[in-house]
Amino acid sequence: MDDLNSRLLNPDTRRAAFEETVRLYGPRLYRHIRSMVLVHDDADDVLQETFLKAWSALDGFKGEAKVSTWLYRIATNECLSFLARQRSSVALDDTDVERTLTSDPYFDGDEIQVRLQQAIAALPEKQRLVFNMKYYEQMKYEEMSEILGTSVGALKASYHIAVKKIEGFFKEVD
Amino acid sequence: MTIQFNPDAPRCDAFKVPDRYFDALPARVMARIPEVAAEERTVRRPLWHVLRPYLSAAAVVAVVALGTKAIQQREPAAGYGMQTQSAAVVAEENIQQDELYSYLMVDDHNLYPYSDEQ
Repeated sequence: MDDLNSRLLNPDTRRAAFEETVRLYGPRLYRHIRSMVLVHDDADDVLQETFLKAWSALDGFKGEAKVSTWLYRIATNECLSFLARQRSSVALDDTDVERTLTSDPYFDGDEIQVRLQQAIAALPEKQRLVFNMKYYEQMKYEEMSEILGTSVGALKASYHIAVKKIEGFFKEVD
Repeated sequence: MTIQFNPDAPRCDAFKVPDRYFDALPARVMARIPEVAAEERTVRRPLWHVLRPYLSAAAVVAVVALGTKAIQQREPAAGYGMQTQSAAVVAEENIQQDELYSYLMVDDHNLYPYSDEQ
């Protein structure tokens, strides 16, 4: 068990260690969440909820898993919950994705970037997760396997299929 | 112009954040976590742990009380037994005395006052 894990499990050092955890993993988790929810304000809400859930669940964290893996799992679940709530209120199509991205002051992408996000948004959620974690976060399949609870072989296949779909989306638009 | 997606091309991160967003993030998150929660967490113990000393003391008192009561119930019975035994001895002595007077063929009524005096 590393030093941060043990300090998180100790009630006397827990609070300071948790603040350090937010500082350490905040940027990576934000990137993970933002690639799923697209808009900065939504990503900020989901990220804070992720850390609040993590704090509440610290008693259940035995320190056996890596802190990063544990946090990624919580963040992923929070993303999926957010998307489910969003889907129940409004269904996003390609035009909505474009409008959402271009109206976000913290999106700085060109036409190709917008098109790529439209293609990614059209993927099933699990494929979307796998694609974003591999393509943007350049995460190893082994780490993705621990977070998502899916075999490495299935993740490779899922990423390959996602890439083919995105390539097809670009050809279709042209 | 045809645009193709190349998964091996350099990534362009179009997602930006406000200035100093990540610097301020820890303080913003920690502000939403009440201080009390951490303190409560340190002192919170299962109910069994809190009650255990009191339950132990109550169990000891109960055992002592029951033991004392059992002894008290046994002692009067023993005393009554001794009294019963004494009465039996007296009755046996009276029977022997009656037999003796009968054997001597003397008037019981005359001898009894003497025997009482003795």
